[in-house]
Formats: sequence, C-alpha cells, structure tokens
Amino acid sequence: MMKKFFSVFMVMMLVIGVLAACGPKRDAEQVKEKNSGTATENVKKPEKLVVWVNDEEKQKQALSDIFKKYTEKTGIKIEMVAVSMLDQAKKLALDGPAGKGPDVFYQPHDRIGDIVLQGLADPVDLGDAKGEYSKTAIDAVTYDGDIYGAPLVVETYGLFYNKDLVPQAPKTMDELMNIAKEKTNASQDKYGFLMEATNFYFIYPFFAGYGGYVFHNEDGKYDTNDVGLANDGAVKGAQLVQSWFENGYIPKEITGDVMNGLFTKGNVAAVITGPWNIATYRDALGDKLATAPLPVLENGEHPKSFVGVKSWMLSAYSKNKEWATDFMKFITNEENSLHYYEVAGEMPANEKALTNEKITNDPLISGFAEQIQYGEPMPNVPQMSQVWDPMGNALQFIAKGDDPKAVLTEAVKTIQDKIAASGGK
Amino acid sequence: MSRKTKSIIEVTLIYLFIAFMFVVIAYPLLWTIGMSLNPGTSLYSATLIPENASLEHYKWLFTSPQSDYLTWYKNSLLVAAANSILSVFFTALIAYAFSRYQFAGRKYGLYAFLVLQMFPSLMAMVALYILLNMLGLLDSLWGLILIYVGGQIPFNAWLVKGYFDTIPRELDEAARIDGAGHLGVFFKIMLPLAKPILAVVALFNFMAPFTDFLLPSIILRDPDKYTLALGLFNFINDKFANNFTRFAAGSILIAAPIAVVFLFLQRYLISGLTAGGTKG
Amino acid sequence: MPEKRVRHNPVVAVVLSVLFAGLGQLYNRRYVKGILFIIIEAAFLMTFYNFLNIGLWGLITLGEIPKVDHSIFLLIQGLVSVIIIAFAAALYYFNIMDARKDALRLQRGEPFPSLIESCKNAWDKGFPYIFVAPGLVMLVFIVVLPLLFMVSLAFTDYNLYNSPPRKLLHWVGFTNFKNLVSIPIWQDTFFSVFSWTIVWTIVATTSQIALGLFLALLVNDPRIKFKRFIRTVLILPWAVPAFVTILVFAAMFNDKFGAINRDILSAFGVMIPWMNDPFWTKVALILIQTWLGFPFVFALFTGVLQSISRDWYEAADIDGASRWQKFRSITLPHVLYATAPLLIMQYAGNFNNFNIIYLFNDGGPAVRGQNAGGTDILISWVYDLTFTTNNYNMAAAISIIIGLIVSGFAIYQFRRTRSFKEEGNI
Repeated sequence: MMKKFFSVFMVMMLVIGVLAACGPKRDAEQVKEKNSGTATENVKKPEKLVVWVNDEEKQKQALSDIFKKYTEKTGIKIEMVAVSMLDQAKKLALDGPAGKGPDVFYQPHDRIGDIVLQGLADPVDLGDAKGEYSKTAIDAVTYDGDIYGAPLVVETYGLFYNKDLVPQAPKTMDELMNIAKEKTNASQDKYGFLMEATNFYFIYPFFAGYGGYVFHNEDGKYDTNDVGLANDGAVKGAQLVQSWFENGYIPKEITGDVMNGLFTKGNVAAVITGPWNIATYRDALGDKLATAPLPVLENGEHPKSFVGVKSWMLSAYSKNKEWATDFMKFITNEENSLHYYEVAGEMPANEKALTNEKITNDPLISGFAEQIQYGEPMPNVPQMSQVWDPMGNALQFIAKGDDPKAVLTEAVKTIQDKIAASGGK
Repeated sequence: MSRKTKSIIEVTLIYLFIAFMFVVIAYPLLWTIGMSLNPGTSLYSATLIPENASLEHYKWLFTSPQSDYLTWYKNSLLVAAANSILSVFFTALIAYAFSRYQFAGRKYGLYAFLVLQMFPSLMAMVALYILLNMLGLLDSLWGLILIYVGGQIPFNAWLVKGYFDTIPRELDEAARIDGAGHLGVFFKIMLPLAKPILAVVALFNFMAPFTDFLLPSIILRDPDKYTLALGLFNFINDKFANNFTRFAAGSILIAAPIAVVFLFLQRYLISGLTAGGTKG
Repeated sequence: MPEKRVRHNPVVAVVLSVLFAGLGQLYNRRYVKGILFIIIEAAFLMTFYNFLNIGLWGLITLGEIPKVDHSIFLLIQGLVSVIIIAFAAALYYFNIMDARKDALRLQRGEPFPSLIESCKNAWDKGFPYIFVAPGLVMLVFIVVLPLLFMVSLAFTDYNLYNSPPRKLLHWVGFTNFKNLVSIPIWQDTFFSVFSWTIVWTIVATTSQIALGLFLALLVNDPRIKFKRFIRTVLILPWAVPAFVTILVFAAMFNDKFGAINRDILSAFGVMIPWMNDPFWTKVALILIQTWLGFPFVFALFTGVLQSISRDWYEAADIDGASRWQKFRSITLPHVLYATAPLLIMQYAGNFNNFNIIYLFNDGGPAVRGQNAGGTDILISWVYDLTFTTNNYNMAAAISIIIGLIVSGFAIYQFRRTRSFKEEGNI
C-alpha cells in the first residue's frame, strides 16, 4: 500500500515541480496598464452599465425612472440589479474579480474604508459637480484625501412625536424627560419616550454632545489610536442614558421592532429613530405624526447625531469608468435627487435639492433636515467596524445598571484590542 | 389498588403527557399563523388571535406586482425536485458500490465520508462561488442544485449503504444465477428493496432547499432566481425594515406542503431510517 | 500457440509508460491501446496545461503583483489544479500498471485476451469504480475542495487589512494557531466559548434524545390508541423549516414583549430575562433545540422499538423482571446500540448548530470582559470573525480545530460501536 502511494506521490511531485517553475508570462506593459487605472482607459461609449441598487421597492421605482432618463439622454442601457445594501460589499468582493460585478454600486459611507482597503472601489472624479453636494456629504465620502462616492442621500435621526399625546415638540432634554415621566406606564405598554437605547448608532449623539468621540478627528483624518468613548463627556452621556433605564422610561428589552409596534399603535408619545420609518409611521398615524430635531442637552449643545451618507461608488473592476462617473453625476444632480426624494422619501445629499422648498416645506422631513446641521459624519475608517459590538455590549451593561465609567473604559480597551487583533494599527 | 385501576391511571397519565406535548408543539405554530393574519409589520404588536385579522399579507404575496413569491415558489420546487431525484440516483450508485464490492479506497472512503461532514462549511462558500464561476454556473439554479447534490453525498451515501447491507446477499446471487449483471442487480434488486431509505433520502433532499438561505444568498443574484428561503429571509434581514408578519405568511405557505409530504412519507421515514442507521 | 518471449522486459515497459502514457503499451505491441493512451495524455496536456501552470504557480506564490493577481482566485485555481493532477495521476498509475501487467504476460508467453473478453474484464473489475466515479468527482469538487480552501486560509495572513485584490496574501505557517493560544484576547475568548460549546452539545443533544426516547416508549405502549395520529403530530416540528421556528421563538422569548413571559409566565408572577441573562438564554436555547430535535429521534426510536422481538420481553416476564429492569436491560441497549451512529451525528450536528445560536439571539447577550457573546458557540463565533470582522485567517484556524475535534470524537465513537464492519466480497 505504502509503495503505491509513494509512486503516485512521486509522479505528482514531478508534474508539480515542472509546472510550478513557469508561472504566467506577462509583459511589463500589460501590468502597468492595469495598475494605472483610469489613465489609459478609452472613452468609448459602452453599450450598457450595470448598477447595483438597494433591494427596496420605492427606491428601485425611483431609480428606474431616473435610469430611463439617462438612457434617453445618452443611449447607454442601464442594467439595474437589486442587491441588499448590506450584502453589496461582500458580493462585490466575489463578483468583481469573477467578472460579473457592476460598474456602479451603492453603499453607506461608513463602509468606504473597508471597501477601499480591499481595493474594490476607485476614486471618483466629480469635477465641477463637487460643489453641488453638501459639505457634510463630501466629507463623509472622502477617505485618505480621495473622494470615493457620488452622494445621493443623507440621513440622520430625529424625533418623531405623536401630536395627540404631545402637542408641541420638546425643545430640551428636560422637557423630553418630563414627557417620559408623565406618560410612561409600562404595565399598560404606554411610554413617553422610546428609542433603541442599547444601539450605539442611536446613542452616540448623547455621548458626542457632551464631548465624547469615536476617533479623534484632525482635519478630516481620524486618529484611530485616540478613542474618546470613555472620556468625561462620554461618561456623562452614558449616565443620562442609564437614567432612562433606571427611571423605567425605556425597558432594556427594547428593540426596533418593539418600538415601531408600540409607536404605530399610538402608545408612545415620542421616539428617536431614522427617516426610513416615516412611511410606516405615516400610514399608521396619519396627521398625528410630526418630526423635530433632537432636543437640546442640558449644557445647551445639540446632540451630535451620526450622519450617514449613501453614495454611488465606482467598482475597481468597471471597464467603463468615465461613463460610469458621468452616470453617477447624472443621477445625483438636483433634478434627479429631488425626484428620488419624492418617490423614495430619502433626503438628498445634493445641496440645491436639500434646500428646495419641496423639502423645507415638508413637515415630516424638515426636522431631519435641520438635525443634519448639528450632526457629524460617521467615521469611514475600517477600524469603525470594531467599535459597534463592544459599544453595543457596553450599552447593555449600562442598561442593567453597571457603572458607566468602568463599562466604557473596558469597552474602549476591547475596541483597541480588537483593532490590534484584526491586523489594524 | 387493583391492577386495572393502576393501568387506567397510567394510560391517563400517558395521554395527559401527550396532550401536553401537543400544546407545546402547537403553540408556536399557531402563533406563527396568528402573526401572519395580523395587519402591520411588527412582530410584537401581533397577538395570537388577531383583533382585526386580515389576509392582506397573503394577498400581497400572491397579487402584488412587487412580489416575486410565486416565482420563488416555482424555483424552490424545481430545485427541490431536481435535488431530490439526482441525489437519490447518485447516492444509490455510490452506496451500492460500497455495500457490495471490494475496491481500492473502500475502507477509508467510509471514514472520509464521516470526517467530511464534521468540518464546518461556513467559510467554504467562497470556494464554491469561485468553482461555479469557473463552470459558468453562477446565478443559476442548476449551479445551486449541483452543489446540493454533491454536498449531500457523505451523509446519505452512508445511510443508504447501511440499508443496502441489510438486504440479504442471497437475493443478489439468485439474480446473478438468473443472468442479471451488475446493473441488473442494482435496478432489479437493490433499488426496489431499498425503497424506504430512498424515500428518506428523497425527502431530506426535497426539504433542504426550502430551509437553506446561506448558500443561495452567495450564488444567486437575480431576484427572479431566488428560492423561497432566501426571498423570505430577505423580508426580515433588512436592518431597519423588518417585515415579520409578511415573513410569517410566506413561511406558512412553505411549511404546509413540506409537512404534507412529510406526513405522507412518515411510514417510510420510520422504517427507512431505522434500518439505514442501524447497520451504517 | 504459446510462444516464449523471454526477452521482453517489464522494466522497460514501466519506464516507457512513465515517460509518456501509452509508450509502454506500444512496446508491448498493444498498438490500439497505446495510441489511445497517447492521445488521451496529449489531449489532457493541451487542454489543461495553462490552467494547471497558472494554478500551481498561484498556489505556491499566491500571486506576485497586487491588483493584477487575486490571491484567493489563484489559491482556488491552484487547489483545483492539484485535484485534477491527483485524478490524472491515478489514471497514470493505472496506465503504468497496465503496461507492466501486459509486459509480464508477454514475458510468460501467455496470449492476450480478445478485445471483447478484455472489455468484459474491464467492466467487471472497473464496475465499482464506474459506479463511484460521478459521485466521487462531485464530492471532491464540492466538498473536499472547499475544505482544502479553508485549511489553506488558516495558513495565510488574510484579514481585513490584508485583503485581495489590493494586497497579496502570503503563507505564514502556523502563526495563526500560535496566536490563538498565545495572544490573550484570542486565548480567553477561545477557551470560554469552547467550554460552553461542549456543555451546549451535551445537554441539548441529550435532552432531545431523552425526550424522543420517552415519547417513543409512551406511544409504543399497546394500550395507547390513535397511534398514527399521535405520531403525525409529534413529527410536526421537524416538518417546519427550522429557521422559521427559531425566529418565531426568538420573538416569543422576548423578555418584556414576548408571549412566553407575557401570556404564560405572567400568570405565575414571574418574568424571566430570557434574552438578557446569559444563563436564561442558554436555558431557552436548550429548550428550543429540544423542541426542534426530538421528532427525528422519536421517529428513529419508534422504528427500532417496533423491531425488538417480543420474545425478549416474554422471557423477562417469566423471570419476573420489573418494568424498569426490562427497560434497562432490553429496550435501552437495543435502542442505543441500533441507532448509535445516527445519535453520534446528532451530537456532531449540535456542536456545529449555527442556525439556532445566530438566529435566536445572535450569540448574545454580551458578557463583561469577553469578546464573543454569552451564548456564542465556536461556529457562530467563526461566523462573526468571518463576516463581521473579516478575520478570515483566524476563522479558518478555528474551523479546522472544530473539524478535528468533532471528527476525532465521531471516529472514536464509531469504532467503539463497531459499525464499520467490513464485508462485501463479490
């Protein structure tokens, strides 16, 4: 038996040895061309562009209108493929090299660091159009000094309230706490104020309003060694959050689904959540629904909410980068951004569209539009992906009543360990 | 206490326990049905007996132009049927060879089947993706079927081999004397006699595509090619827009046919598994 | 008419056929066969040469120029090449042996069998191989290849910050395994997750087996009527796709808003923190797994119970054995012995039961000072490492460890139950 194996093995080694010596023959030219990206690209009009869009009905509907217009204008067919936004990066990493990827895909800006690290996207040359987008949006899609996306949508969270229960939006945190105190009756499922208070994404403004930060930001560069989530400001924010749980305003079992269910039933006076809930809430509450910016903290600061920017990105595997860029600029121009807003209900990143009266006069959107001014873009460095879990856990401990200072210090340590363990610096 | 009273008490207790199990089994299932009849999207505002029950979710699945439910259903049935038939065929071939013939690698082959099942396959998906890409079968139902058929071999070949071993060799020999060849024995003796275990394998492989959402999510792109499990999972996978009630409605419509097939094949299930697993 | 050909040398035939398939056959004057073999090898080389060349080069170097060479694609092409070569080598080995056999026959001066005869011989001898071949090829590419890929990843430096196509991967030897047991953050997490994985596997599987057995015994009682109906209902949980039931359970177990606390336990004035206390989450997971898993065992045992001969019990009755004694010494050994392999599979399956952990509470709740969630088992931790934090190399290393543990356990148990009896001799 051994002898047999041995002889088979020898033959294999022989063949492998002969073959392995060779490898591909490629001339330097070809390599150079591929590496230098867009420079040597020919600008011939492609027959079609493949675009990955988020798998959501309203958004797809809005985009297909806009895509049609682009085809009319240029004659380039647009193939729209629906891929859930959360899965796009993962799938592009496979589809791109396999030659099945899109020319253009759609991502929230906080994934840009990850995507660039993997070499999946190329910078976008927005040219003169750069000035058309709001500054927050451009900041958000800038990574290492390059712009990686054509921003379509900005979003942040705001305060929704039920006018039947609170006629006026609370202006300050104190007012909101009073509402919570008066209206909460947990045994009957009535609440004054609810939010997903164990989700760091939503809780961040209360940390940041007092001076906490994720990574120290100096001139648009993040210092990932400097994590400010256990400093005095962050602890102060955490204490505020803890008081909500301690006073029984918010149950620690809260989830988005529970919150939406109770709010749409009319059991909750006010919730803090994102504009993606507008449609569901409006269907359930009708005229009773109103929105406002987040209430001011006791130190007079506006809570600095995370601003998310969703933008079109250019696949590094696209063979039609010029036209893809042209296309990205077209779909995010004022007219199309507005159309997108009207159909899909998401706030445009295009400055002119954002200040259009269609938006400023929309009572449900204006609260969010205002809150955006106080917000800051989520960090787009890849290290951010190590922040969510430890902070989410920390908030669970805080909800259970553990000492915020100790919990946050521990969480920051975990974040730093995780960044180190995952190979980042 | 007389023997008879004791017996009556015992039987009553047994019935009581079985009744208790019925409740435990039925409760979550009824709850799912209740959920699917609740209007709205939230799981938690739903109640077991909805205040204002409506069939809106079912209606949406079947009639909304945005719903691909029927296409998904058709895809799933195709994948399930093909997977079921092909798996039975290939598995039976292998099991026959392992049960009745001596050949190089036979002994270690059985151990290999065993070991291969034990390694987690989560990370293997990327390799399958690239393999299908080489074959040009990405984003295709046949690619998916191919992987299902190949992937089930270790477990099922081993099960079927166990069953074949219980079929007396005298039967093969008798058939051979009557002039049957290798194939003759396989088709005329083994396959008909192994019906119970083949039914079990068919059933397992029929069910698998209905419950797996990971693999399709990696290799299928076009919503027209989604299988039910993947499509339904997407209803609730969205970070901010879960639609549990619609998911529940869709799920019930998957569970119902599977349960029917299942119960229909119950007889085989019990006898097939027992004999197959016994001798393995 | 036998003719002596002592001068014919088998060694020459072997050497020739090693050089190129078919040459040895030509030397043996089996021209048709020889030419056929030559054509096959030539065709093989022409078709696959480039693919294999790049593949093997890629497997060894993992690419040389970032962004042009994609390490992952090269790695897989390399593994596919190795597999193709292994298949080819097996055939090549057959070619060499064939040349040797024919040469020996020539040397001894025996006549060659006629074409029809040799075809029939080949069919008889090759029959099991022909039957196994299609399945084997599928198995190798669909099951073995991905496994090799995963094993390879454990020896690379593939993580988020070193991802193709922007960067190239490199072979790093056993570094990842060393880190797993030496760097504190990995070490602590690994051992705490590992110990819960063991507890989970044993408790959850044993309780589903116990419940299945108990119910099978009850329903098998001759005094019970409506057996068919009862069995049908008891199998029901198996027939509903597991991911649906798990998600429904997750909603029902919500501490404050779920039906279990609200509608059932509130009647007794208790509220159990199912989702927020690791202990209770573990309890909930075990209960749910029992619910999901007992029907399979029930079906299995029902079959076995029906096959136990009455004689055993009658003999025991004559000896005046109590019911417990009969169970201990007749039923239990019978049932366990008969189903051991499948029961072992149940344990192995739960060890890797990703779905329930992930879908129920995503490994949560969190535990202070620990990296993984309070109920994460190894496989769900691997999922997190792979898809959330892109630590592919560590995830692969852990996967290998999982595989080795489970298959070691399974093989040991299988050997003990002597299920691998060797038979079959046609």
